[in-house]
Amino acid sequence: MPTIKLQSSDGEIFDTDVQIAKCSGTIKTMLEDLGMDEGDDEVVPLPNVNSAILRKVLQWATFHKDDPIPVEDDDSKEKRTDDISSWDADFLKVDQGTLFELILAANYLDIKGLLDVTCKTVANMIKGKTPEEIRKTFNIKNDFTPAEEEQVRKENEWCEEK
Amino acid sequence: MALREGLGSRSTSSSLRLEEGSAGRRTNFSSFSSSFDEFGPPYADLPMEILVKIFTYLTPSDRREASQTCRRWCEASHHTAFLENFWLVLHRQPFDANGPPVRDLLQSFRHFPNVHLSEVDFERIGNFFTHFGPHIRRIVLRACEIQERDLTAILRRLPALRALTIESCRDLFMCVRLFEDAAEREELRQTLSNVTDLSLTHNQYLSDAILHRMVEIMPSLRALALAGCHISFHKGLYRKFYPGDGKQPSESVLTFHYVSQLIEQRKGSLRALDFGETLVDDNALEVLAGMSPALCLERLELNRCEQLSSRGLGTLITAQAAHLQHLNLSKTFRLTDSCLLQICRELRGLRVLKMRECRALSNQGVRELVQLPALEVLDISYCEDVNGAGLLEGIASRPNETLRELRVRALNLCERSIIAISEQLSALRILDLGYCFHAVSDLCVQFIFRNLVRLTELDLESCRKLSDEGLTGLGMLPIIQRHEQQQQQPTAQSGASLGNGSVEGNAAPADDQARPATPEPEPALQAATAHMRISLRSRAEREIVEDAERKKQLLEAMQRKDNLQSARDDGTTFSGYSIGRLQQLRVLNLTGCNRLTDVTLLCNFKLLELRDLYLAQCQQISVDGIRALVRGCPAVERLDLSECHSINDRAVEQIAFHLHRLRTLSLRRCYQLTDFSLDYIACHARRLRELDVRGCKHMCADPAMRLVNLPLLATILPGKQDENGANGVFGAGSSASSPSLPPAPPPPAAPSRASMRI
Repeated sequence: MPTIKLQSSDGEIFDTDVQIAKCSGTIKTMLEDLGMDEGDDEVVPLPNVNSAILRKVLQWATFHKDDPIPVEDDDSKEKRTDDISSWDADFLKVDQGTLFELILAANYLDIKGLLDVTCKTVANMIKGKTPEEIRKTFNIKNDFTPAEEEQVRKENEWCEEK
Repeated sequence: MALREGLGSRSTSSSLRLEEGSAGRRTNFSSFSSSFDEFGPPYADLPMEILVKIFTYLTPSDRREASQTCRRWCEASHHTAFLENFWLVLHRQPFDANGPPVRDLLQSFRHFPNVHLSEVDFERIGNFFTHFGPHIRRIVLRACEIQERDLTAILRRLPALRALTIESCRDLFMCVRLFEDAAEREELRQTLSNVTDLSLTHNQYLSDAILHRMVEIMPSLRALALAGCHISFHKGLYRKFYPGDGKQPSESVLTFHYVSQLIEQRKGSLRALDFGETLVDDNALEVLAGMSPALCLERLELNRCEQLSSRGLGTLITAQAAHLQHLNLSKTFRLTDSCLLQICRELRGLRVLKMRECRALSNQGVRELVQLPALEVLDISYCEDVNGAGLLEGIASRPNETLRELRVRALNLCERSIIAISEQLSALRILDLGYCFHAVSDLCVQFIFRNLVRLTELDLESCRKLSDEGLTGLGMLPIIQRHEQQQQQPTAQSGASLGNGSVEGNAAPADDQARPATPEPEPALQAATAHMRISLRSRAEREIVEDAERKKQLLEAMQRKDNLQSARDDGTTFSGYSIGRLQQLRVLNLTGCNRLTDVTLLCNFKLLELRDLYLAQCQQISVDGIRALVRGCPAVERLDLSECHSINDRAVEQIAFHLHRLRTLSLRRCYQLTDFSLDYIACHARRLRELDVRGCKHMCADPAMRLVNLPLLATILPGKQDENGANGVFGAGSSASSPSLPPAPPPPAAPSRASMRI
């Protein structure tokens, strides 16, 4: 099985099956653009992903390597968040910091499936909460001035989506 | 090095910024908690595109809460992706630029693409429309007190307007001078050149002349709605008001003669017409049919057009067969099966078909609906001759992945047909089974919970057979399995299924009679209650004891389940499917399901997106259930607990304290409530808009006095006395005796249609 070497930001080398690495749109495009293919011994540096996160990402990609290629988002399609598979749900039982890093890594590596499922996980953590509870959950600092906060609150009172 | 460049060129702008901005901080951590500042991972600083992506997974209500956390999340919530369906809604507020809420809104930096103003008195418009007007695309004025000059001043500021609705604004159209100034009209014509939708429904005093002038300033119209206007379809009246050559549109009447001329002039561009609640007749439809092929109607609303019959409809349907996508024929009482057959045969592109209360329809026509390949919305509620067979042999006979909304309210269905709906119509989002009380059993809802997990609206009003078992799934698994075994052995069960058929064929047996005929009396339950029958004579008494016993058993079963769950996963042997599976549910109506108890609310009633919940007349629900409810469903905005006699002040305290988003609360005839309830509401329910405490006889006579500190509370229905029989204003649906469509806006005066007919 052909492999390539991925190097995390902290220098660790991951010997990875090419098919699995190609879950990442970024790596796939790069390999194609550079005409680099199986058997090359070059190391691919991923300066934005550290080894702990890269390990998680590869674990996810290995499990999902046979998934159908996700179609591009259709805006008219409704969004649901209760369709996270139990494997993914267990995989994402991580602390807020790791989840945050996974989102950034999925975005940087262009892995749509992982980005979807991490964003859904965050959305699920927002649901039903008050602004203060959301801040607590995600360690968000309230950077509104009291006047601004009041203004946003008042505006929202009169806004509805239908 | 080449590789490095390759990567850089691929990454999106936001990842680039991340690389530059936070590379230093982010490259050298191995343990996350230590690498972030005191506020942990900077979720607030996620790239905007990711924040927007996360927000697309939220309901509008959750998005609104999230926007109040910090500036960046607020910015994300204002993203254009969310603006399309975003409305500024003012209801029963004064429109005064110097006072709240308009004064506060004027401070805003955001845009309001859609503005909905109902029962608003225009006092001082100020510079509101100068400020926000350029971005307003849709505006609705419903039952507003507005002067002619204010309206023109507003319209002049709306260059981006696409849709204008002026509904039930009686005084406005009493003003004959409306849009009379030709120079002003020319100016408005420039401004309003993009308006495609004009809706002037329920305006009693709309005249030919005013309509003429309004249409003149909107050259690009595609949709015209005149529902509930007093259009005269009678030729005699035309002769009376159009003496001589009749060129000048009349200032005093609205005639189909003129409206049809208008449609004729615009037939190349008009795509949608609404003549609902008028006396539109077959002749008028034939006139419209005569305008094809130039006139291509995609949407036709003929709700409550009682004069229509198959002749006019048939002609128009044939003429518009290639175009019609949306057809509303509700309450067209003379619509027959043959007309429906024609619809099914000819309107291949039909997506929406509403035939509520078309009483002449029968299974014969309804069964053919399966032929419509693109149908997404179907309403056949209150078609009283239609029963389960019409669905089983029709729309529910084969897998269907297009139908999203099905309303079969108050049909005499059978259990089998509802199970078939749940199994075949996998794309359903909205299901209305209200008043299907013979059919909707615990087994049915178990199948719904199993198969239709993407429902957003479920209406089970007055489905009185429903019990806690059905809603929670406790103990249902054996019953489901037995049902499925029966399905697999059709030969052995032919007798039973015949029995089913005959029950369904009966003309609405009374509730009491239906009960002994229930095809499957649960043996387990019978065994459990058999010993009681010896000592108890009265049937009612027995039922009360049975209910209490069942509640006790269920509570025990639930506790067992809780204990087990720590050890085992979901698949406990005695459990079926709970309502908690419907995680996208936004609207749930359980009004009148009076066998439900606290158990339903205590067991997995966790619906994070639930917005509207109707539990009226669920008299066994008490503070224990409410305590679980307010935690399981934190997003509830509308709660109806009318006639829940077990609700006490403690329960209201829970509601007021925990349901932060509550806007509408009905506590009508909750006799236990006292002024303490009002005080809890006054202290905590800061967002409440409407409160119904009619018939709460232990409250003070003037609850508004105790609630003065709630600034948003615009409607309070007080009163110790509560007249019998009247329906609650917040009721979800309509009562069995007076089924009606979604409430039409009340025209200020009773329409004197009779006088207009001649």
